[in-house]
Amino acid sequence: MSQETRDKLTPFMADLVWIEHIGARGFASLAAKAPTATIREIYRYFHAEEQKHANAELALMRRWGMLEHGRIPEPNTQVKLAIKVLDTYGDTLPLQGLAALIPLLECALDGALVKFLTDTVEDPLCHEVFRHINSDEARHITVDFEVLDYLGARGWISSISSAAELLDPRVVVGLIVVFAPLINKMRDNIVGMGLQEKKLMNAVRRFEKLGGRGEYTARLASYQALKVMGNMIIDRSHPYHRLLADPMVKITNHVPRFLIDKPQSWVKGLSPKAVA
Amino acid sequence: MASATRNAPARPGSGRRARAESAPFHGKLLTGTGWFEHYYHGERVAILASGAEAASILPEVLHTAETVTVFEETSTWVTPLRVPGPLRGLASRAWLRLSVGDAWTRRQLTPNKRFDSREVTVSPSYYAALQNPRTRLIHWPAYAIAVNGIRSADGVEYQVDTIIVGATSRFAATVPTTAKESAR
Repeated sequence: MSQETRDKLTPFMADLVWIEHIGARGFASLAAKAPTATIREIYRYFHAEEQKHANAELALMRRWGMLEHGRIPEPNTQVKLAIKVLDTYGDTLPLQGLAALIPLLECALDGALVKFLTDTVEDPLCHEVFRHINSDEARHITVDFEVLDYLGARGWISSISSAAELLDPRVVVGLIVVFAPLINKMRDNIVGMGLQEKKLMNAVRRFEKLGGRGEYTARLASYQALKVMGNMIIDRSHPYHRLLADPMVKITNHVPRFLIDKPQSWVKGLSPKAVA
Repeated sequence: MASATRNAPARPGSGRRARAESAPFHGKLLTGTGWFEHYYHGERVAILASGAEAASILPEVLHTAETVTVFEETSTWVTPLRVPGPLRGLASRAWLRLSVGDAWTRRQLTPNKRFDSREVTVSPSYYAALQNPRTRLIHWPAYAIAVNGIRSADGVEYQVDTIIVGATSRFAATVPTTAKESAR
């Protein structure tokens, strides 16, 4: 790997590791609120598997000499904000909101970012690692959409009352202050590195397509809202970017440190080692 | 969904997932009450057990073992003393809050309101033992018993010298009989 590629990929890989790690924490929150004991058990495994992905990506960074003195990369401000929100509200946010958000992130990671990485890097081990990660993600996405369908099938009264839960200020503020800038920063970084916007578009199409297969998924307000939001995110000319996401990235860059310091101890769970 | 599955997660062909691998574990595998008769001096020990069992096994083992890795399969409420019925819930919550300072560890040790048992285990030293620097609490499920230790769902192999399998552990039924005998 050339020095130029390495310098270009380092921040991208660091973001990828942290997004997986946050995804793992998201599954931990889902497990706490799972509708049945079986789904809870599945989410416990998914939590561990996301952590495994983060560790594997960290190990790849070590292999490519991207970790300075074996130090784990520092998360950026937007990631720290997401960690803070998950620590504080993760276990009380409405189930259907998180249950719809995670498959969107997984479609984007799986479909666009990981593909971009395997197209850019020629390391055979990297391809092997992401083949395994992709097969895990495929399982995660299948279960995620089954759960959405299950939640939608609870009937209209449940759909309406849980849609009302989404108006919770923590959800609205979380989407605007944490999710929008986190995704936009990542999106612009990766498009700047040469990912075609068409691939991002495919990822959101996939979210729509898989959701469309479920008989009852469309009843979920969170799924519908994220579908709209996904389409706004991929279209760079949409006023969403000019009026909301770009200013939020600028504002969140200046969030004072004392507000987002002291994360919970799961943040220190990353390690590139396979034996403990 | 059948009512039987409400509190116990369905597992495909119970035990197929939680199986001992074909190559047997190199160290000692203790089942039943075997852990009580063993001397752990300087050993790296892993405990595969439910929270209620781990609460009685861990403090004893930690006296002599070098390090202990606890795979807590289900969490349990703990009180330091026997508490009368109506106060049990409150006392166990207060005891957890007072004894475990780290919020994430506390989250791991809190039983799920709907799916976990509400029984309360009496153990004055479980939380203190869990926070001992020689103890590691692993909250992901263990996949399999490998040659050198336990492989868990996060893809890490936790290498140990001795494994204690609790009587109600998911692994209890699948541990090979030869290993049970070797524990005696």
